[in-house]
Formats: sequence, structure tokens, C-alpha cells
Amino acid sequence: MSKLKQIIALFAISTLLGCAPNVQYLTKRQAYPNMYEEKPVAVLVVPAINQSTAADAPDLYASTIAEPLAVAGYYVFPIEVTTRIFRNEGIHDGAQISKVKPEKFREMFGADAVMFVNIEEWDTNYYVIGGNVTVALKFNLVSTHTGATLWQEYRRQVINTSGNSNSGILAAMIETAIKTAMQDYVPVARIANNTAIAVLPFGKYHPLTGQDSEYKTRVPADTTTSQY
Amino acid sequence: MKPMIVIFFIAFVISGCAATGPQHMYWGKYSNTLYELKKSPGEKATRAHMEELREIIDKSKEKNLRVPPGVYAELGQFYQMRNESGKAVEYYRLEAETYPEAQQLMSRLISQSK
Repeated sequence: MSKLKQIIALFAISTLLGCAPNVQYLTKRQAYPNMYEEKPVAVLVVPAINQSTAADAPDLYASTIAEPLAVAGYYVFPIEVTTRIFRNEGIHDGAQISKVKPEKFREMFGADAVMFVNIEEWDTNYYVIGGNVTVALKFNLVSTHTGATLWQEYRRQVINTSGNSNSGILAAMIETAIKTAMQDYVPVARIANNTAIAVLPFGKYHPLTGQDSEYKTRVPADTTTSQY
Repeated sequence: MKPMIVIFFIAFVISGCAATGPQHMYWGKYSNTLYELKKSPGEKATRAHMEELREIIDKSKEKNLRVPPGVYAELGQFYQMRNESGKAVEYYRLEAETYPEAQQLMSRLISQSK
């Protein structure tokens, strides 16, 4: 057997083993048919729904989402402006408007779709000598024309902040405490955003808009990623 | 040489990665300066972020790219907060000219700032 064949065989085996039984690869059109049906352009990102214990999470999170969504080809309403409008109306958390009829956002802003983001985790976790920082986000893009969900994803990103246990338990505990305290949530949230939006069909302002419908995407997505 | 190409091809297909092509939008350090402003609000961080917004506009024009959505409008709002309504309106107009989707919201902001 040539070396090439061996490598291909190994590759094929490892790929097969790596797949959970129900994982399948669908085209983007099969995975998100409503996106290709409606072709939303103008996306209103409303204040995040905070299910974590960190009160400042939605405000910090708001600095992370415009860029990846816009790069994917969407017109994203200026979040600093829309957040201010909501705030002036006494709305600080997306949960306050989750019952509002989606078409209201078309009337008020001219939005085609509303992006709801649930911050499910924005946490620091400690265990005996280790720790991590975790951000878990649920994305839900809702049509203002039909009220239907156009796209939905969940991502949970874990960054390990454990100290090196080779240097002794006490040293590792101290190292963990420092590393964990210094790890910002926002870079973790950015990774979660990027991996989710990577599977979002391209919008009007992306050069490949309309040409990605046959791209393959993993269903269900690999939702939990850890960096150690 | 050939086997490597085959392997790369397989890896590429399996990883599901699509070529993103040339950069079609310039965001500079937007996320960072905005994050700094949220972490420690104040004149210094505000100035730095406004400077970055202007930089994004200049660089985008230089590179012949569309200015990213919201950048003109956000800069407009900062001017509005500094009671420079004239400049604010100018930037709201630019946002609406660049993105027809923004028309409705920008008209509202313009009428409010008069």
C-alpha cells in the first residue's frame, strides 16, 4: 500500500469515527431554507437576552456582533444607535421585547429580520486546581415579514485557564486564579460569534451572495468548542 | 507533489471551509475601541473610538470599499451627543446614501436632531 493510500485510509477512518451517529452534512439551502426564500438584508440586533449572572454581559456583548454579521453581507442597523433608542424606551434586555410582534420592527426601523441573542452562560468556573471561562450563546434570527425563524444556532465556547500542575498544586492554584481573572469574556464571545456566523448564508453585501446555497454544513453543528 | 494536493483537497472539502475571497470590508480596530469604551467610558475612550470610526471611513475609501454598515451613523450619534447637530446630520445622510436599508431610521434621526 502506498503511503498516500495509507494516509487517505487513516483520514477516512478518523473522519468516520469522529462523527456522532446523527451527524449529517446538508447544503446551506437544506439547512436554512427560509434564508434563501426570504433573502433578508436589513438586520436589527436587539439587546441581548441575559440569562447569565453577569449584569454587564449584554452591553459588552453588543460590541462584538455588528462586525461579523456585516462581513457576512448584512445591513446591520447601528447597534450603538438602536440600543440607545431601546434604552430611551426603558428596554435594556431583549427579554422585554421577545413578545413584541416581529412586524413592529419593520414598521419602526425598516428591518427585514431581528436577531435575538440569548446569553446563556458568561461564566468563570473553578474546580480543584483548574478553571475556565465559558460563553454560551443562542442565536435566533426572526423574519419581520412572516414571524418565522430564519436561522438558529447555538455555540458554547470554553477557554481553559488552568495553571500548570507540574509546578505544584499551590502554584497551579495561584496561576489558575490569575489566568482566570485576566481572561476577558469578550474574546471568547467573539469566537462563539464567528463560528456561528460562519454557517450563516451570505447576504446581499457579500461578494458571494446567492452562490453559497450548495455549500455543505454540519447538522447538528459542532456547538461546543474548547481551547486548552 | 500530487499526493499532497489530493490530501489538501480532501481536507478542504471535509472541513467545509469556503474560500472567503479578498477582503470586502474594512473594520479596522472597531470592536476593540468600542469594547474599551464600554469597559471604561469617558472622554479618552470616546475620542479613540471616534478616531477609529473616521479611520475606517478613510481606509475604506482608500481601498475602494463600501464603508461598513452603521459606521457613519455611529459617528453621527457621537457628534449629536456633543451637540454638533450639523455634523451629525451630515453623517446620518451618508449612512442612508450608502445603504438604502438605513433610510427610514436615518430620516428619523435627522428630523429629531433639528
